[in-house]
Amino acid sequence: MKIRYNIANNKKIDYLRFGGITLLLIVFSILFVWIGVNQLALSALDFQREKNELAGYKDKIEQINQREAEQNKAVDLIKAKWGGKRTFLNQLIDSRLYPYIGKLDKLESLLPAGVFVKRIQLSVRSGDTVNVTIGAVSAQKLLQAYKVFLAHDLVISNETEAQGVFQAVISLTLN
Amino acid sequence: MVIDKYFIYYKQPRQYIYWGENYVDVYGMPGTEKKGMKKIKTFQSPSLTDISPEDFKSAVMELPRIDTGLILNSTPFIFNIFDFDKIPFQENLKKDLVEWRLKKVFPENLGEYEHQFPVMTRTRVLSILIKKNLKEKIETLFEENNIPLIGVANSTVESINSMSGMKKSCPDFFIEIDKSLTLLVFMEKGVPYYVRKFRAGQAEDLTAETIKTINFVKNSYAKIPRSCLIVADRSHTELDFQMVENQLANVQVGSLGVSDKEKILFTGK
Repeated sequence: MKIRYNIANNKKIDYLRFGGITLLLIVFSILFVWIGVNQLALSALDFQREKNELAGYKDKIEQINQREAEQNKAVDLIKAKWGGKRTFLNQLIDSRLYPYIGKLDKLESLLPAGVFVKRIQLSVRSGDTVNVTIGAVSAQKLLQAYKVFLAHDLVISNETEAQGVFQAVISLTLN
Repeated sequence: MVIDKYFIYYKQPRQYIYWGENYVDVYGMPGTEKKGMKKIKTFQSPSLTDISPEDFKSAVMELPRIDTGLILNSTPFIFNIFDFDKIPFQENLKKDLVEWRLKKVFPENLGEYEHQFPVMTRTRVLSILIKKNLKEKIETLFEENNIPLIGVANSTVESINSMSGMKKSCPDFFIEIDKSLTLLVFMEKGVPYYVRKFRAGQAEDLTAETIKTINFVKNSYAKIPRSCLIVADRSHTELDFQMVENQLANVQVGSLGVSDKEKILFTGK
């Protein structure tokens, strides 16, 4: 604690000391502003550099996209050129692999006595579904066949009777 | 003003004059700072309160006309110490608060006094009053004799500043003696909390008043002063200091000795 007590009216300002302190303050202020401006300038430079890098990346991405589009176009051309042949070959492979005989064997094993196959439609495209027109000597036999086919996703499309033969158009899943 | 207090620095005087009750000490070169000053002249003179322009002229005739600081003894000063819960930072509010408190103990017209109230701690101020006409008289006397007076200070305030600089070795109180003028300043860690001024021509009177004041401080402030320092210029004071020290020892106050005012004011020791 120091008590500053001076009641003189003609106190003289120590201009040298006052000037020194003012100068010091000015120097510090300038230094502070300079550091601030410098930091801002550096930040602006960093920002510009990052912006340029970003622009470079954008160009690269555009180039990659363009190359991809060109390559896709080439692939499309190859697809267009070879597409028909590929479909045909795939169909051929599918047809060769479709188990016609197995399905017919299965259908035959399922048919009860007194029920016979009048018409059968097997198609590679329809997969496991088989469209069959069956005939039965009696309505009871037809119902017996239905019971057997129920386990094979039976769908009855049409039922008719002509000259004592009961006929039905059905579809089944055989796998 | 805050800027005035903390930012603007004032020139230090190149010579100091201590104007006592009946003598004058002049301090000057070789140092330019106050602490480097040496006593270069001493002479008998009436106090500045009573001096005539002619006497003043003859007293300062041989003094160099350089920037001068005047240290007055405490005769014309009135001291009060006030404690507040909180001291406002704004100068005008602070002034109102201190003057409101001062008016309760000092009924005279404050307009006639130069009033300053340096803040000592966050809650304590030292109110210092001196008659404006005396201050003007002093400044006129110096001006008329072409002595640039750039500082007017008080010996007690300067002594307090020196004591607070002593830190741990700071006494619990000090006795400032200038002829018959005696000041007792009680301090805690270098911060004054009670000041008393009285006149005592003899050592017996001085010790009696001092012991009375010690007891008052014990009762009113719940503090027990144990150490004291006597500040006096032995070459100008015919007082039995040994007797004062012995009497104080009887009330369990240890004297740290007699320090020359010159040392306290100009070396802080």
